[in-house]
Amino acid sequence: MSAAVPMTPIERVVAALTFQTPDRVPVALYFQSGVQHDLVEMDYTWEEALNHPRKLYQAVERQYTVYGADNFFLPVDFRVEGEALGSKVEYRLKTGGGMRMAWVTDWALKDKKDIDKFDVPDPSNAGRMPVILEVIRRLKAKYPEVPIVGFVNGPPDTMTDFYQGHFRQLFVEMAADPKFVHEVLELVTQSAVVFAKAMIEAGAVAIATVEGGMIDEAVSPAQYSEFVVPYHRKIRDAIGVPYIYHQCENATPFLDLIVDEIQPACVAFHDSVDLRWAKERYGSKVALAGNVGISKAGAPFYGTREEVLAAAKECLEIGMPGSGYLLSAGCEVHHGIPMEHVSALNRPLKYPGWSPSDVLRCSAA
Amino acid sequence: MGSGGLLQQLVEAVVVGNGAAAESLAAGALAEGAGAYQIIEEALIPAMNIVSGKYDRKEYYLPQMLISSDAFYAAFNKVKGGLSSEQAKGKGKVVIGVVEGDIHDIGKNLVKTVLEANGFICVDMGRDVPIEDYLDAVAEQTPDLLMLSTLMTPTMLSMKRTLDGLVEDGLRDSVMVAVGGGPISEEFRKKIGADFYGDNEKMALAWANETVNGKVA
Repeated sequence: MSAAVPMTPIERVVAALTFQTPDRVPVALYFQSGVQHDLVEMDYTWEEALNHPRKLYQAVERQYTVYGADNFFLPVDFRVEGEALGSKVEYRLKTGGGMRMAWVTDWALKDKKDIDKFDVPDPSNAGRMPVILEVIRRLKAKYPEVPIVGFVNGPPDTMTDFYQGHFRQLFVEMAADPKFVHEVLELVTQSAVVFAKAMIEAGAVAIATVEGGMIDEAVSPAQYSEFVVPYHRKIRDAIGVPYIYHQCENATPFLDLIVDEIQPACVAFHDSVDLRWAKERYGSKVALAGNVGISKAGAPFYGTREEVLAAAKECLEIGMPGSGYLLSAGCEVHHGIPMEHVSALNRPLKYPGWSPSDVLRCSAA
Repeated sequence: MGSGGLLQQLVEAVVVGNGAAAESLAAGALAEGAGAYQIIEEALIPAMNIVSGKYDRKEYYLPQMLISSDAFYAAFNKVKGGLSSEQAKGKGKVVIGVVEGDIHDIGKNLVKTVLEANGFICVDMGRDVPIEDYLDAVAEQTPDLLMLSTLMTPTMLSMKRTLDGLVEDGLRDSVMVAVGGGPISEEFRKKIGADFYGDNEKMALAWANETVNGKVA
């Protein structure tokens, strides 16, 4: 049975991750470029917000206070680690909303023979890492009841922010010079570890990651096993807090590797994964998060509020039996979606046809 | 060794992605008297067909495809000076890129490599390509096909703007336009007036073949 009094967000998330009984399924989001809505409202540019602790704090705070998520999620962009390793970014215009996100335009490592010249960065003074740490400290002080999830990029993704040539060159080197790729991955993995530990020390209670480029159409399970799995496992083993893993695109070919070898506390699914299949296959081994459609034009998040709620309800009906489930979008919450759809997720009594007893059906096995 | 033996070695060099060997073997075949078109027809395209087949059978993935593609171009660039202007277009000329505002180019690279494997000559515009650059490329390169990719929903608007630009510059009737990428759908294709939407590289190849063969209006 469910608890009689409402849980705090951190109690709710811990209950779900540990297969206990939350008072309702927590809403846990990879909340990233969606912050654009808040920046526009607060009249901050991306460059201002990402480089200024108070401004970034004000934007991230709204994930909980405005949109009602059961977690804070930051950094809200992907370039922090590459920048800390010495790459330079520009805030360049993305179309479709006036976003000026940080993109790497000058890579730190241009010649592979220079790899030995680089060290693991110090999070207290490298790039924008100190900004992230300060925001976490402020959030922790004001909202101790809300879990803060720190984000580290997947090591291969960070390599593309560090070594010139982006993903194309990473893929070429995987085939042409795997030893070099492993050298770089080792460095960026250790960078992720020290950054993750610094975020935990500042107040984060979990670390989330994403594999965005090593997708099913690009790499084989054997390549995933060689170039992805060992490095995430190192991060997972080093941090001592729950590791939350999101694989972009169709993770199905890699899920055995992710669940059995990386062994995260939670796997967050992309829209393209069959949640029912995943729940049956992995639901007793690992907590699952997902996967209301957000990644394709016409996905529920782009429809009406009713369509979002219906899709969320369908996910809940599949995910919540036996607990070990967090309601989430199929990918990051990005700026193309109406934000009122996000704030609807944590109001299950608004779901079509649901009564209070339905909300409480997320019982442990 | 005659050019026949060198061409066979060239096939193998491209398949395994050995660019230096491919370039050297192409030069050697030219020196032995093979024609540029013969080298492409008898070695480079068959090699990339083998690569494409390996991708279909999941023996190769993108890393192997890309080094083979690089080896293909190392050899192609060595011999292309000997081609007539028509031969230089291969089966067809394709301008391909990721639209302005998006840096995700994995899907674009896959499509490009498969097209090359089947005899198309691709002008790779890269990623985050300004609309004006596409318009300039269509005007200057006179491709048969323009292929636009994006992974992100917000940058889908760049596709529409590129198509609008083609119309405004009087170029729309000169080129067939395909759109693809994670968020793209057939409905979106119709809405912006593109000619084709494909969900994967095989669909893109089939459309490209049909289009250059005149089977699609």
